[in-house]
Amino acid sequence: MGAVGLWAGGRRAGVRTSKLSPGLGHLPEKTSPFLRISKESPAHYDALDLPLRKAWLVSMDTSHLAEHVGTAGTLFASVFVVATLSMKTMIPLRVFAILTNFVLIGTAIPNHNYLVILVQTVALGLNGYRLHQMLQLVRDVKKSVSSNLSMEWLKPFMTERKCRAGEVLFYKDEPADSMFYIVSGRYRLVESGIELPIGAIVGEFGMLSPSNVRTQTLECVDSGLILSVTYDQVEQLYVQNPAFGFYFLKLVTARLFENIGRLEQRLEQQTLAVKTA
Amino acid sequence: MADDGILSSLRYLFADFLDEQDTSPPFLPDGLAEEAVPAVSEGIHLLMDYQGATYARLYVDRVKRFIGKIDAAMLGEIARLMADRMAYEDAIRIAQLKLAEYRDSDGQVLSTDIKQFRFDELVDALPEIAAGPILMVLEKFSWEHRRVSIPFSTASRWGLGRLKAEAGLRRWRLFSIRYGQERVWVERWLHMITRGLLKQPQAVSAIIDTATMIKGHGDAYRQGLADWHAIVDGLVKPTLDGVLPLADLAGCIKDAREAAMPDPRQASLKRAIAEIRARAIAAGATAAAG
Repeated sequence: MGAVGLWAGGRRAGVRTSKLSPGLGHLPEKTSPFLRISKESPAHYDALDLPLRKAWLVSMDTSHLAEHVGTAGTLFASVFVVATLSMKTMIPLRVFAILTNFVLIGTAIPNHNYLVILVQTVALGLNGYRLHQMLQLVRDVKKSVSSNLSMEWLKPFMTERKCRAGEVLFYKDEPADSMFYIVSGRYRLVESGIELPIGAIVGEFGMLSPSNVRTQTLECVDSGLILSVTYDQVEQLYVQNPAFGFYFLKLVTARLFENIGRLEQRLEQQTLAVKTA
Repeated sequence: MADDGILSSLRYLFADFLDEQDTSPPFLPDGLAEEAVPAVSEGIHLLMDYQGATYARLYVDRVKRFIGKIDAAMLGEIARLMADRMAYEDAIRIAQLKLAEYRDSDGQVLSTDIKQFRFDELVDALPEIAAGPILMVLEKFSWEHRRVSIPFSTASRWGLGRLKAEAGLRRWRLFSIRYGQERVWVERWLHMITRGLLKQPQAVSAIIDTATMIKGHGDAYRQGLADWHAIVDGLVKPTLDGVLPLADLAGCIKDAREAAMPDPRQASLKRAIAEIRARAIAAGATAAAG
């Protein structure tokens, strides 16, 4: 990309000089893109004297230098592109992509290749945003593991869905494919009769359970809003980002242990009640 | 060996486009009663032909939910009706059947069937990503309910080519809007059967049989579906939720079905359901007072 810009820029400047100054016809076609003299009148160049010609030659040398720098930059950028493509996970891939963007912008500036500068700047912004998103995700999951085991960090990746009263979000024994976050409304697990509070996450275990089926039916009692994310999307985050995967597993295991603890407590209470009776 | 790896990766990448699936049918589920074997086996073969092995496996998984919980005759009936509903009739299915008819006759049967569809019905058979924008445009011009006649013909090379192209859309069927609706319907029907087994076992047979209300495509299909939802929402679900005190749910389902007419406004059906509900509530109140 950088190389294409450099040659195109050179050719453009070369055409101008040979047209404007017949005395400089022996100069190579490809000259520096730094030479921007097109606004001057042809008569002005007819009166070019020797020192000016010398100045031209000096700037020619600079242009060759810039050309070499440009070629080296392009080569350098190509190495970065290869390095980016060889990354297996998302965070190093984004880091290398950002470095590549910088190198390509740096290579394009001397050539005034505005299209490359524009495209690479947009790509830089995008890569920067995605990297920030990934790092924030890892940080939030890590924080969640060591604090309240909440899964709110998933919210930026979820899609909004309105639910009407009476609508069933999923049925018992149905293959599970997504998890939900309750934002508003009332929802009831039909088989157990349990009502889920606002802020609850439903269906996170289905993703990791071997049978991968729903254990209860979830019905909307009062209309409201939920956020949903498919297991495929979470799986993508998991595969792209090993740090996220590790903390996600820790989080789900911790939630599972919390559930087991609750069940043990309930069992203990029941046993105690039976003994007292 | 390395080539195999690359090829298999490419096959996986383009699986949806290549329609390359596991072609071996799933095994019959363990513990299936002898009496139900023919129905389940037939269902597997139907769905292998209709969609493929993955879809047939989903069918077997759904049948498995009832093994040991219901008698063999009822299980056979669930298996038969579920296979029929899972092989729902869309334009793709009609093209598949027409092609099969042509192939079975060794190219001797040359005929043209003209079927009427609504625009939205045709578009619903496409993957959601493609159907969404088309439906938006149709809705903007209020054309979504316009009817269109589609010929399904084996009488010319052009007709055959079109049938093959339409049948080829099968590979994207499971991404379609219609599939999403049909999946929810089957799950709802099975859910009502499961809950019926716990709350009113004597009504289960009638609940199973409600699947016969939905058939074909076009207006008949839409009418059947609307009637089914009216009966389930008005009678079956409230009874299983414990909100409506219907002692004879099976009899009430039968009465409501008899009241259903081919009327898009469902006037007689709605009236019948309202009467049944009123009677049940009054009887419940009397029983509570007594």
